[in-house]
Amino acid sequence: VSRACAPRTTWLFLYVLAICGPLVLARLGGWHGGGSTRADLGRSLGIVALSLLTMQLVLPARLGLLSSLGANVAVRLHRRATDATLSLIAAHLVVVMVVAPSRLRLLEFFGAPWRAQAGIGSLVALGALIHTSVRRERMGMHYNGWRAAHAWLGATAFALAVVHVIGVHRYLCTGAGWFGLGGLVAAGLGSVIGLRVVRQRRVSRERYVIERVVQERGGATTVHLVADGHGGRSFAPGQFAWLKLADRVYRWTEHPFSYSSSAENPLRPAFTMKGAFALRAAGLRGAHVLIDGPHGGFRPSRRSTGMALVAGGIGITPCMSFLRTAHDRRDGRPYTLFYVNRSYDAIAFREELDQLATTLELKVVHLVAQLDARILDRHLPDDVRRWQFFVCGSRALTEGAVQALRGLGVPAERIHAERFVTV
Amino acid sequence: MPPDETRWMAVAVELVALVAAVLFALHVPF
Repeated sequence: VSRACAPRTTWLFLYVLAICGPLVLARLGGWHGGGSTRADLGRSLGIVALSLLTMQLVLPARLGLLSSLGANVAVRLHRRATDATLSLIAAHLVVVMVVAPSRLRLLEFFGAPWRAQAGIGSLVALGALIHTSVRRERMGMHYNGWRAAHAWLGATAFALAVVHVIGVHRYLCTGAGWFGLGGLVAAGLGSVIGLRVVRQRRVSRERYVIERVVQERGGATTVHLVADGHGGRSFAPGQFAWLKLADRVYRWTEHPFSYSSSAENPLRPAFTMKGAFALRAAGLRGAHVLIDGPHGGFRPSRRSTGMALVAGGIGITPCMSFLRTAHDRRDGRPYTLFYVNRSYDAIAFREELDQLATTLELKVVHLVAQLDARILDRHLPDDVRRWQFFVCGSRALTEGAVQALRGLGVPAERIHAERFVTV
Repeated sequence: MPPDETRWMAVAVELVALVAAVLFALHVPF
């Protein structure tokens, strides 16, 4: 398995295991299908829907191994799998109702048996969860408030779905089937507790002090940290971490930021950012913060003959980490940076980039216009297929750049794109 | 990884889930 294929193979394997495992255990549990095929289809659809719901809790849990394979992949898959989960729940409901239309009265919440009430409650929680996710910005929900609501609604939907299964008391509640249900509960609860308690406690052991806060051009802020009594954590350029104040270990107020400093100095990591945390940071010099990271699966290939970075605005943050690290490692390979900004005055790190261009084999292409295939083609070398590409910026910029690069014949596995969101 | 690769991964997951559910309902031995 090549490095580019590893994340999707691992994720798909996990999914197949989560989907098939409980079904196999239900079968081993001595259940051989007492009812008609239609009735059993309704039940098996319910079981796989619960498995997918469990995976929705596992995916964003920042599990070490899986996170290193691709944290952004996990979050995107979490979003995309929503449709699959919902359609399986809908199929479960439809088949169960078609088999016995008298069950329709179970949908009347008051007076229905508790197993049905738990199922309806789970659906309501899921509905609220999806509504707040899709309409968060229009509803004016604060990012951290939304995260807390999202996790609570997700955990509630999951817990009520498990209560529903226990109430129905079949298949996953017979013999080995219990192990299937136990496995799903352990995975779901373990993910929530692991992320919110175990992980936060471990992170709180290594504190950092805010040493300096620097205002950059273009409205960005760089927060320079220094490890407080420990050796720091090594990271790779292109990775990110969750930052929070040290006195809020178990609170939801944490923000994801990309490292902007050199990976050669993990004792003094720096993050360049915009948004709410950046606004507060100026008054926090000397305060202790916690870093949950590094996360993100991008690793520059040692075999690539050169690297092109495409940055839009604040998307320069991880690119600075690449270039500063290359400088510290005396990397002799060619780098090309396409840097898109609204105006010349908004170009953060302009002088430092000029300086880096004298020590690195770096070409900086400043753009205040749209980036297109012609501009990329003009500045990229002929052996472009052996280069590596890192794209970071707004959705429009990343999608446009990836499309243009693909049009120039760059293989998809050589392009790493990250959409930057201000939170 | 290209940005839209998770799209077909989610479709694959749904198909696997559907096929597994149908096989189970048909009492096909695993």
